Amino acid sequence: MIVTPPPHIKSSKTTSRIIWAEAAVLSPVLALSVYLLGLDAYNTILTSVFAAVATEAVVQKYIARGEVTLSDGSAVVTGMLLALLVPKNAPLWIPAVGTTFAIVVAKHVFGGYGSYVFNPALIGWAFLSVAWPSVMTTEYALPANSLSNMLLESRVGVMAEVSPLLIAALGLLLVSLRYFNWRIPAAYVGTVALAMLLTRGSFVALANTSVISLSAFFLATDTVPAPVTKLGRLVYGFGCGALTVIYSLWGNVLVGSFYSILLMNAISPFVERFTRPEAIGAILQLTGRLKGLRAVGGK
Amino acid sequence: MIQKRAPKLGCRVLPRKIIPQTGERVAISLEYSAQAKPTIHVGDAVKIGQTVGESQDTPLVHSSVSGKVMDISMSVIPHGRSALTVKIEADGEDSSLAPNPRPKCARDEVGELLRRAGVIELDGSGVQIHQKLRVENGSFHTVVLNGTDETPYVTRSCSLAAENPAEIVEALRLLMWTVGASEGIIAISSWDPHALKALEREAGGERHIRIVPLGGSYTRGMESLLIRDLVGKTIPNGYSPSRSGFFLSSVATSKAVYDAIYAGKPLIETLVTVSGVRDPQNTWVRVGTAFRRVIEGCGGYERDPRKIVVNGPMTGLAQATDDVPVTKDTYGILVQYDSDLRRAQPCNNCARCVDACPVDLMPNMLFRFAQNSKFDMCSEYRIRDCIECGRCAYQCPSKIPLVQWMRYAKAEIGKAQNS
Repeated sequence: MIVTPPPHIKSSKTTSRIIWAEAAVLSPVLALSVYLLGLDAYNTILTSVFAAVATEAVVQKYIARGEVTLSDGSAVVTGMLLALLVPKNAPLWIPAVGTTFAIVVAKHVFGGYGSYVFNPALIGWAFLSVAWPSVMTTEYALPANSLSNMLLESRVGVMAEVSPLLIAALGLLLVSLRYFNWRIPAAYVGTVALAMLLTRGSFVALANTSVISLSAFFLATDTVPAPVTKLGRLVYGFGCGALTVIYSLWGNVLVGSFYSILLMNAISPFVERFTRPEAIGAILQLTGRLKGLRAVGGK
Repeated sequence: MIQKRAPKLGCRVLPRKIIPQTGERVAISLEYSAQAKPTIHVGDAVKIGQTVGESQDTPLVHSSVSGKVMDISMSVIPHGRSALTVKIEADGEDSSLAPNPRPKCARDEVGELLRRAGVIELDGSGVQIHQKLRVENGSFHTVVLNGTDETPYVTRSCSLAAENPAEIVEALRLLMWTVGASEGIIAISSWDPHALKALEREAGGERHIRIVPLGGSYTRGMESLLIRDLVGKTIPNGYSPSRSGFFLSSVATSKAVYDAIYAGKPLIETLVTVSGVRDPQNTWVRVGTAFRRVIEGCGGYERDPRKIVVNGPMTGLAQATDDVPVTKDTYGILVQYDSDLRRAQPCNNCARCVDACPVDLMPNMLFRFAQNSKFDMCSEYRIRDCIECGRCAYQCPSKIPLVQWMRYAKAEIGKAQNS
């Protein structure tokens, strides 16, 4: 018989299962990209995912010399996300270099899955943007106001823009199945929606770009670099949303929504520290203490 | 949320009985919290209900079978240690001493009668009921019977309430009268409507007795959290519910109280929910019966067993062997197989543990601090508030043994404070 401490039952939602679920819901988006954008997209996706998986395997086997954990799916998801972020016509070495940098520098230098402080896919994207700005700058198909453009759009800069509504729907699916917690995406989308409401639609660009739904549901929900407290996650989502709004007022929505998440990643430990939960029954304890003081004072 | 997992048989099914066969040995442990001295010798013939062990201020221990005392020695009990144990070989006659009911006893006799009948507090709090009863009249305003069966897989309170509602309500009246409480509450899991209806029928019309159905999610039945759910009062860490006037006991204890006072029977058997076997069920088991025998009585193992857990999968102890005896406080036996075991992965900060914690802790941080021996930080993050309910470890997608880390950190902090 095996003897272990309790509890002896565990929920069936494992970390691997959560990551693979993310990969599974991203697949329709990638398939749609291939359908709308053609073989270029297909090559980009394959290169990106293959480079991520190969880099992960090499780093874990020959440099970290530990267990190779490809089966947890995190390298696959990083590859998929980066494929969605690079320009659709970028040469194939762009996603390859991007994911390699993401896996090596953003992930394994910090200790691998669970330890990184910035989202690896976003770091890969940021690295490419800084190193090869001319390749990474994209043209948007603006303005695209109608519903059909939100659902199926081929005049896009990056693959993430092909179907904002599909991405949002898949994100909501994962939230409703409790694979993602609702707090970060709700605060993110809520903040952006509020800003749009207050400015009466001057954020048309904001509404029309699907990077918001990708950022809110698939990039900001990366839990590793996010705070864990209940309030902290709301603050984090709000911060991402607010920074996205500020960036897009004076800059570029795409750049804005990605950098907003990286910036919030950077301050997430502080958010966490300032939102620590109070002790249970703290108020009662306080009143008890006051009563005690009064009793002492009365005597 | 950790939902109730129903055994394949609903708890409405009449509980069965497992009676020791001729030649079968039962091992009756003389120790729970304090040591009892044996009152019989090897070779003596005993009957059901005969005292086999006693001490100054702990409940007596009685024989659960009729037969011959074969051995008195230390052996392993399910609490993860050894204890002085009387081993009796059953003679198959199952004859008992004449019962001695005392329905008209005086108020201050109740505690002693319960002690003599070997009644222990079955709610897991560790304070014996006869000690709890030894208080000034009027220091309690409410008697709360916990029948929430909050632990997954366990349904015995439902079963008891559905089968013996009259006895439970009568025992509640007795306890209220004994401690001078004006209100009585039975908290029962809303999982089984029959249990609720049976109790309501029995207590119907009495204004000072309330039957409260509680959702079946885990940790609702834990002491201070139960009071919070019932009356909206939060009891902070370090305060016992009794100081706020709540006399807390359980439905299972109340059945034993009824049997002791009104039927004059000592506590010699316990209702156990047996799951993970071919024929999962609630069954009455004589104290001292070996787990192996109970599992055989419930259809046996499904396949090669890997873990045997006593008293619920969330907080119960895994047993090294199926040769341990059922004790008075055994209420659940769960058998697990290969498919129930999982490996650990790195923490990914998903915050499910934070959302799951009923006392608002940050188990992920406590785990990291404990892992790095930063026990001062564990204290800073209120590790003392941890009730070791196991909800965090249940939810953790990375399957980190969080409860083990909490216990380790608490033990290290305790060591540092004592030195």
